[in-house]
Amino acid sequence: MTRTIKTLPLVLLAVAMAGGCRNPFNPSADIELAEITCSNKDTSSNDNKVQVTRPSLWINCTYLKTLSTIDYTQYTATMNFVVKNKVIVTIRRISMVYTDPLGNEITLYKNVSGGRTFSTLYRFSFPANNNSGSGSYGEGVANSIELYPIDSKVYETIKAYPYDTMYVTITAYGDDENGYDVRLSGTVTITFFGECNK
Amino acid sequence: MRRILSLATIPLLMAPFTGCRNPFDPSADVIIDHFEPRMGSMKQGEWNNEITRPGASWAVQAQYVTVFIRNYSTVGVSFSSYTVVYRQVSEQAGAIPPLPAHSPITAAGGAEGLTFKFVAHLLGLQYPNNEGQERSWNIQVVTDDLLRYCANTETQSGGIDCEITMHGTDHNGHDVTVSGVWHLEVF
Repeated sequence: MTRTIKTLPLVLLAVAMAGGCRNPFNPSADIELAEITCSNKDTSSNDNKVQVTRPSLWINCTYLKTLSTIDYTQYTATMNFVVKNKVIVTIRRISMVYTDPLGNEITLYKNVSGGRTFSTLYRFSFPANNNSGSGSYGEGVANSIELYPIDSKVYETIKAYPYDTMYVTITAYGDDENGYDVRLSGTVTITFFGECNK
Repeated sequence: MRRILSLATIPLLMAPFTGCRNPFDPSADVIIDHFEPRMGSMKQGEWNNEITRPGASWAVQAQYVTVFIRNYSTVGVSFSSYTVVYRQVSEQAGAIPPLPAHSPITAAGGAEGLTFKFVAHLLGLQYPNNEGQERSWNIQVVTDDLLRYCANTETQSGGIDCEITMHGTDHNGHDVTVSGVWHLEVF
């Protein structure tokens, strides 16, 4: 009986190692990309008198062509993360890769490794106690980064673009304080309507 | 006593074969509750929608649909894409050879349809609720290419059925696929 009790922890440890379970004393942040919400503040159409939030970006070419410069902040994609462990996460780099419906990389950024890439620095909040979170994404604490996928190079691409839609894959790179790499990625659709290139 | 201890180790022994996932975790229980168009009205159980030429300032309103999804489990879901297969209700007389009624529209992706990618999250139940955890999204269904097709093709007899399928993964790793048909009336 005593021997069984003594060997049980060893069995648990062996099972954990065989199963690839993580050391519970060195946890990762357990961070997830819960959602990417897109917003169009273009006020040129009846639909957009107020800011409209959708899961994809909508670009009114008719309106865009009237602009001499682009206000990046009109078209936003917000990455919403949720951190479930009490471990600090720092995001240090963002990349955006634009592809057409056939999967081919497009835009004037296509020759740049990793697409459009820029450095950044976001330090995320984490659960401070057992009651933290329980918000929009359930357990964990939500954090967000607002991005502007439509810039002048994308605009130049749109002018000679044969499709109605393109995809942008956004990836956030970083690490947590326990040394685990963080790499979270999601893809959203950009839709063009109005007097585009057709 | 020994039996009790042995019983306790069974789930742990199963862990290596299930990737440390609790084998007793349920999958999400998700349905599409209904669709709502941004324009038009409900008639005889069908949602009618008016579409117009590409580029009209208000056309964008007609191009997206609000999809309402319910989750009856405590397991959350992350959606990553949806596909739309467009079927013309009437015969496609202009095609060579002519296609029978309810055939997919080749100009709008054919049998595979069009895929729209997004990242969206649906909570699991946080407390007992018979109505489920509901959330809605405004998703694009009509594209400018489809508008052009309707402008150049006889689609008014019967309209177009849009088969919408949402794809995702629940928090326990199970694939989630839910679908429904939204009817587009052309006039």
